[in-house]
Amino acid sequence: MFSQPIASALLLACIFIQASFSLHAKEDIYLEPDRFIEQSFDELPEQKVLWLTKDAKAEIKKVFGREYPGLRIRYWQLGKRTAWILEEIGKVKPITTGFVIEENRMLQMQVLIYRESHGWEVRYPFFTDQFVGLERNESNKLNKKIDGISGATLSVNALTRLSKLALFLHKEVTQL
Amino acid sequence: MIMILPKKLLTVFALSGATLLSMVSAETTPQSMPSAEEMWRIIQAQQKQIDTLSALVKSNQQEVSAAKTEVANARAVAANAQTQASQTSKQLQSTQAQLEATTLAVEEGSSGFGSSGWWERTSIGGYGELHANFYDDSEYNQIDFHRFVLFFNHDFNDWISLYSELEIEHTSISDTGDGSSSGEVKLEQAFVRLNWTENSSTDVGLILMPVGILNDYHEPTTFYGVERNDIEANIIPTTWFEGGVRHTHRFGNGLSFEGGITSGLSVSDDYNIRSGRNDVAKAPAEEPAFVSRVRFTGIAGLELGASVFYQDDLAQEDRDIDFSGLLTSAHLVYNYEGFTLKALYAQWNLNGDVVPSDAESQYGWYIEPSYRWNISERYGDLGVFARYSQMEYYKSGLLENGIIALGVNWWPTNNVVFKVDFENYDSGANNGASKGNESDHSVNFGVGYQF
Repeated sequence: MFSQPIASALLLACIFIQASFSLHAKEDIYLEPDRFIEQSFDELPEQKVLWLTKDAKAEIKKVFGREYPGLRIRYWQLGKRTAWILEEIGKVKPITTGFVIEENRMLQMQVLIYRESHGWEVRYPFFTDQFVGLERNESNKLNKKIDGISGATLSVNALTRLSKLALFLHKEVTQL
Repeated sequence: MIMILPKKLLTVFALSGATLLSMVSAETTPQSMPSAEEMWRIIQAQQKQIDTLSALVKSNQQEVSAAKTEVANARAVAANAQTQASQTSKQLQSTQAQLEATTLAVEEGSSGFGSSGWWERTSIGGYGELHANFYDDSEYNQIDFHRFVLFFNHDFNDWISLYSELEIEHTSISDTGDGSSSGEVKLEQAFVRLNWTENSSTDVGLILMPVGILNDYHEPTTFYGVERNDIEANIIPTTWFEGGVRHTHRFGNGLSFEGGITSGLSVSDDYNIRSGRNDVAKAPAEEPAFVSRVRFTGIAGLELGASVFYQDDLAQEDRDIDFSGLLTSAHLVYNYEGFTLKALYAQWNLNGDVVPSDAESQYGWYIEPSYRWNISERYGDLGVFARYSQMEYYKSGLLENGIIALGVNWWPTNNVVFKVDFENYDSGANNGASKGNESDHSVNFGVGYQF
């Protein structure tokens, strides 16, 4: 493509260097969901299922802004603590996210699998730490505003809405 | 049975005790030996007692035997119940497994034909924006569906993906023969991404140049103002894409580096940067361009970025002139709760056969504070902004402009935005160039979406 040998050399070097140290290539799975659940509890939690009945779907739609797909949502519970693995589209691809909640307060939010081309910052603690201590009130508002990331507005919006949903679901299953 | 047995035993003990007492009393009483008749009566009495005791023992044995039978029967019933419970448990487990499989099949939309289809690894998105511009010189008023864009992304496997963006500008294109149709169909991105590790990736194909704020993220819902800002149109020629390779490495502290070798601009002797874009359509590839950017996003809400672009021969198609182009830019985005501040500076330095020398340095900057707040859950967010831009660029002559923009964005939902703004130009809306629109100000309306 280019007449300069240097350009070709640089291009080849770039590809070669990458290929040489990254034979163990993988998808952007930052933490396996099973491992996330293990880390979130001191003991093995009980795995439970929340079936998305007609009434449940209607309630979720009010909180989440749209219907949550699927027939059920799996969650894990030990005492007053629950953990949830939920998904929502960021820009065009789903973000798999883990939440740990105790007594209606977020203990942890972690992006487990990220598939978008931009906005990788959402998986790092400098962003996810904002979600610790998050609570949702009856008006479906969070107790603090999440500072966004330039270029990842949709991913940040998706994670904020998922947080509301996780807090809502926790309340639903723990007040039974 | 437990209650009956002790009573019978008590009776036996009572009779035995009475007999012993009578015998003892007979021995201790200083009387003569009993007669044969008396002995006979005593023996008969004892025989009677023995018979009674024997009957009791026999009766007890029968009761014990009956009890044992009952216990055995109970055990058999319990064992049977246990077997049934075990079978029920197995049936329950089987039913749960069937339910799990059925639910999974429904959730995954399984057709029962094995592996998932390509459509499950392909995603579609898009954005669009309609603008209406009203100038003080109404001759230039216009309404335009400026952009309609579709994204097509596809995951080939767990580490190789395709990202693409196809755009129709100004609604339609028509074969006018003289090329006067204002419409365009453009492929703005089409690259294959190789995710080597979770922190390191290489993009190969048609890529957006990693320069400025808007070039990477230009969906209408992400910025204020109906039209894109003038600095990232005339100095950074957004949307700017080239063919080539870009490598990105990200660090856990929020620092990232990008470096690329791409095709370059082909600026003519009017020294206008924007018109030097070739859209990678059978574009000249005599001179490569080098681009790199460093970004820091390690504090939530903050982005700092700086980039350098260099092309040794910016006029690669024009054999009569030869000059290099160096673009440097820096930007800041800071977001704290509803408040956002954006600032950008970009400058071109052209060196070589540049006549007149006014074209050698072209620059622009802007600063844009804004505030966004939530109206309600139903009606979404409202935002206000102000932006001041200053630029000096070349287009067959040196053009300077200072632009003040004030406006409002309303996001009824995050992916839809309605915009209105007012812009005031120091030197005319089109800066006296090509179209000759020398309006001092304009009022602009727009609607945009993305999905």
